[in-house]
Amino acid sequence: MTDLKLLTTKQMAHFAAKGFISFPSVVPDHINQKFLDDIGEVSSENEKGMMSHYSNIMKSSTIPLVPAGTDLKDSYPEGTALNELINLPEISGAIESLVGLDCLLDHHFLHITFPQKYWEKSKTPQRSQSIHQDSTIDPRKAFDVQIFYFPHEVTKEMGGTRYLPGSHFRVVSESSISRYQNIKGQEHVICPAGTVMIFHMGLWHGGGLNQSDQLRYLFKIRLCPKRRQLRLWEEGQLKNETEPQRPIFWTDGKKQEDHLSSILTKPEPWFEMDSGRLEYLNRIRFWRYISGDNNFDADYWVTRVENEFL
Amino acid sequence: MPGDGEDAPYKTGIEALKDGWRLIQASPLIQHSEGDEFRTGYFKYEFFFEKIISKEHD
Repeated sequence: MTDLKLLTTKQMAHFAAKGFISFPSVVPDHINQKFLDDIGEVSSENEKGMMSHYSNIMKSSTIPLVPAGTDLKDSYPEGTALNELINLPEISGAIESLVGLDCLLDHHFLHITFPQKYWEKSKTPQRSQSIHQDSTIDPRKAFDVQIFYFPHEVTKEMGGTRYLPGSHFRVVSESSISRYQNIKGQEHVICPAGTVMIFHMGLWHGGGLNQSDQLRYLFKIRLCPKRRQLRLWEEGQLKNETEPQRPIFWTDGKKQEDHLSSILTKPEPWFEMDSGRLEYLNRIRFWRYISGDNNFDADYWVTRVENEFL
Repeated sequence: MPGDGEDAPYKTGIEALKDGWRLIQASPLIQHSEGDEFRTGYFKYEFFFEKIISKEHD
């Protein structure tokens, strides 16, 4: 792992505000094809349904079995598609920036979204996966990331993962949120082959409905930090971009969309005027955590409520 | 008008229901517990829309 392309401050700010970062088509075709070969795709003709398919593909796959808590660097043998994926400069740089390359692998899993014919064999009505947060109530400041690797093109009909930008700081319990069936601002993955998205562990998401006639594959890798996540991205930029406070509410009317404070205080479509504002505070406190700068603020949201005299 | 009604329009809630009113409870506003004022979680304002469709009798 020599050639790292670390995240910029702007990319980190996007991750802090939205809870994910995207790398469209970052994985070259030869790695995608190698991965699809490694999956060990099996014929579906004699299968009884989805669980049967999973059982068979696990037997034929060469995806390694990795004990939880294994160092990432020891998880994927050299020469495998997953090793090559992790070592891409953009991916290794993002991992280093978010959780450190000395991180641990929690688990990985090949998610298969089945088309209608498999549901018929399972005698189950086809439905999408309900929205949820992995994996249980998790109020930590430290955070894990989940790599979502899409080895082939995902069309709209294939029901790519839907996710709710900005939901990652909500402390909820897994599928308890499943009664929220559709949320204003939710997005769906529609992407070219070789796209990688990296989610904060708290981002609400769920698999879509596959209305194509093909299987849809998603390989997910959860990574955990082994140390405090402190200034792991491009530090030089951090020093340059820690701006002083700026006028708020009454301004010169000019938009500064790339300003760090603007990125951290940009609302999502589902924010209301109450708890939506609390998400700005969550983002600012997250930035303080990853930067180690306990005086950092964006547009005075946290400083205002810390101005206490005891 | 708010603040001007000295007399309750009905003596009981049942009377109001019998007169065609429907009872709706809004999401309660729960006091934030100390130390947890800024934590976000489930959606705070949750309502259901119910559409009443009148059915013509045969």
